Amino acid sequence: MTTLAELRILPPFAIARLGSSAEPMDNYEMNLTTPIGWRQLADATTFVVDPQSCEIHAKKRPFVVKFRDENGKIRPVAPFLEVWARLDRSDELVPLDLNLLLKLGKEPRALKWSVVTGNIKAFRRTGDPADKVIASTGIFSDHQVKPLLGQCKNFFEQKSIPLGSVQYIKPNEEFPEVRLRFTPAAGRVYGPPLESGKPDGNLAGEVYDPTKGHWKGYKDAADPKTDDLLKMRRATNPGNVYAGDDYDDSHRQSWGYLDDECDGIVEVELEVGGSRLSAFARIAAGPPTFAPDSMPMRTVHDEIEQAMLGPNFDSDVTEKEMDEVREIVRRALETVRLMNTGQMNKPSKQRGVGMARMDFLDVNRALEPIVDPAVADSLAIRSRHERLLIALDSGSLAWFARVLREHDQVGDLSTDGRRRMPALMRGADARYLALTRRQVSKIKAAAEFILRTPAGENEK
Amino acid sequence: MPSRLTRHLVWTSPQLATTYSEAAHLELLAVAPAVEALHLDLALPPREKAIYLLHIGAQVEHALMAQYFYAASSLGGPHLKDPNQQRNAKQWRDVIVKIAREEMGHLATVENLLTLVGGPLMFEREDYPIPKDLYPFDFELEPLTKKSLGKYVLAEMPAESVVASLGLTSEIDAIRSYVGGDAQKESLSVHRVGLIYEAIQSLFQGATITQEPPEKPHVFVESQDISSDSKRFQARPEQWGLGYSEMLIETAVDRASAKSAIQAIATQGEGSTIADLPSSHFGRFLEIYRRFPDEGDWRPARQVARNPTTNREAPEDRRITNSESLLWAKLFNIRYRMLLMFLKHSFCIEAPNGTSETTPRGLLISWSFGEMYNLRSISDILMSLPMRDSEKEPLAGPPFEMPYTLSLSTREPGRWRQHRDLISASQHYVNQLRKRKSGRESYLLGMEQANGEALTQISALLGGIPS
Repeated sequence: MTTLAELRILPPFAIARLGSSAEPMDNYEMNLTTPIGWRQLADATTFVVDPQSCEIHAKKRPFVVKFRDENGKIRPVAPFLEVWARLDRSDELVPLDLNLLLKLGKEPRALKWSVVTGNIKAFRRTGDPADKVIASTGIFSDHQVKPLLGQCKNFFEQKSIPLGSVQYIKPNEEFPEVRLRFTPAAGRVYGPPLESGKPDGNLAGEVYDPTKGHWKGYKDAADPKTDDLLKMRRATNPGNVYAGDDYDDSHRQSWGYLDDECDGIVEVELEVGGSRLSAFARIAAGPPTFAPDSMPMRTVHDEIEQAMLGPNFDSDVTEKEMDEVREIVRRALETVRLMNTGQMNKPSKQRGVGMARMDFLDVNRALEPIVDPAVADSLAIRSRHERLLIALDSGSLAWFARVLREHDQVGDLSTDGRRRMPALMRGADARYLALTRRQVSKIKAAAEFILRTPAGENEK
Repeated sequence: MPSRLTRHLVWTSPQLATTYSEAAHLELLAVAPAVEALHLDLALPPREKAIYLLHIGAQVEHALMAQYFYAASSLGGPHLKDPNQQRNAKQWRDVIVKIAREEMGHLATVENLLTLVGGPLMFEREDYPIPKDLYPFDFELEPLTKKSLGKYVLAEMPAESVVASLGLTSEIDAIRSYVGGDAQKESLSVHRVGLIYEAIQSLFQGATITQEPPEKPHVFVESQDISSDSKRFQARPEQWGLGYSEMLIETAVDRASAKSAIQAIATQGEGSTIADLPSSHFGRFLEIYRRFPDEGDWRPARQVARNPTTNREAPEDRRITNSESLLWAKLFNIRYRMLLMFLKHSFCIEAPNGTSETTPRGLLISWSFGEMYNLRSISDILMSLPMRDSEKEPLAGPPFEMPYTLSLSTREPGRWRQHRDLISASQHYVNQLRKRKSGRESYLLGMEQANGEALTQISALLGGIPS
């Protein structure tokens, strides 16, 4: 008799990307074909869900990777979540499919799903629980699309923000696995009506009732002399990063806008053999990628790897790590290719992009370019990164490892500190971006490894 | 036989300095008490004299840089199995690479001083081995041995009086004996390059005018010949320093900064006090020498060639004849020339005025760094390939051969066309090597792509420059 020990949803964390097209994005792969060229996007097998039958009816391989549909609308990235199972006396995970369900004496409808997502960005600032936008599907076992309607106590009656939808895909003979698909929202903006009574052209819907909540008109606490200290603690760093009017030098007054991004939990439950097994996964929806053939230097993957394996890389360096380090340096090249480095290096008292001005605006540092303007030109910086990447195996990595910014140097505004790598970029805490401690540790270990390896033998 | 460049220098004992100078119609430039005196056998006004001496300084720094880089690259290798030996070889390699890098900073500083007085730049030097008219031994490209290390210690050594005050006289004597053998001890009297720098420094002294008109005009470089706004053309640490604080690139705008730049080079080379010793080149080489294994003990360096060359007329033991090694060596020489041309050209383009302007200077600087990486990559490859078909060893090495010219075209479009043509020339060797399919494919492909991009950039630049 087959018995289950555990259920899992894989991947445990899926990131969707907003898009207003009805046609979800196809799968694609990013391939490296040349030493310093762009990544090539290649089509990959994609599941297509039939809206009538709620089943996957075909795999297809598109010939061209397209990010917009025929009407120019962005195609959303809508990930699938799969249920896997671990059988008794086994360490191996196997897909939960029709065959396994049959052995367990269960139908697909025996699985009970529930999804809760939310957008609590306004609550994050106002502290008012009535500003939380939450969508919940309740428990379901059928295969119809379940809209995620974001409800909020401070909304007008009957108003909600669509945060996307989920669908329990009906398993069939050809695609017997148990899957749920999360389709994110369109990427629209919602908010309160204008006081003038005229329609606000930015908004897809007037949902927020400013007589109930205070998100409209809200100001981040930013001045320790006049603002409430508890509110100061709640403010983000950088502050004032919401749509609004600049109230004075340090405050911005919110227009009360809300977007349709969200994150949440998917849960699945199966009662089998008298016990109730459950699993959960996290989902999130973020903006579309506008540089799909490039990767950022520091990714969610890097964060998770550090969380799982710790900040120090203290194993032996193998070809796998060397490949990972080459990948990081390539991502540095891809990143600078998208930056107007000359502009970002310019000091100015005006608001705008670039740490050279933010150092002044945030902490009143003397106005100075970060690197010598003679070498800040985009073309020059790109050339330098390309050559760094080519010569990685024979010493340039040692230099790169040496000039990396450590995690505790993000606030070092000395001349040398500002020039560390990654240069000119801002991290999530408003100060200079640093790689994860594990990335830095791995790069340093690889640089050491190269110096130990006999000359000319590093060629892959 | 002194070289074309150094034949006007005359070295005498300090006791004879004045009398000899007068009798032979020489000009006394500098005296190292109790050691030697430096004279010039050519009448030159101060500015030209400074340029002449700076040219010698530039050649010496350039030669030292290449020689140290070669020695450092030879360290390590698959024959080292013991982790302690590997660690030592790596540590010494790091130290000597740093010293080579610092010599590059010295060279940049000398070029800055030439720029300050409006003199022609000097990126030339003689080919290896360089005859010993300035040093007690030939400059050579050779693997690091206890003997070659001893030569570097002597080359960077401060004045005898300083050596004595540091209590190092007997140790230095022992190194002299080891390097030259007892029979040659006499011929190993070191001409200190420091004396040349002292002479340059004195040319930048400010004169106290005690009478009008001055009795001997032009004893010092005249104020009108010192151009403070030349700084915009000079190499700056913030552009070239790569974040290495010890890499000394001094700019100069007046007499005081010129003098302190020269002093800084001299101190980093020789060190002159106990406090400077550990950070000076002399001190660092001495420290390695003390720990370096004796002959017959373990060998920290690979069996690489001495003074390898692509020259078909050279003695057989110096010629690279293995066909693959020869292609890499020729590629190395072209990229070396490219580096020197980029460096030279970068001094012709002023740094942007303010933050809004952009100039191709940054591109030349980036390309220069790229060529430094390339030279290192190709050196490593050469030091893994044989010199000749018949034997696995010696291994080849980077030949550092000087090209037939480093002259830049007189006008800007011509200079960019020179770069274009050199890139195309290097692509010829890249193609040849790729055809052989002998590995290093991704490196060669990367170089090919970078060549292609550089050619596109040059083409765009040529479109924007009036011809």
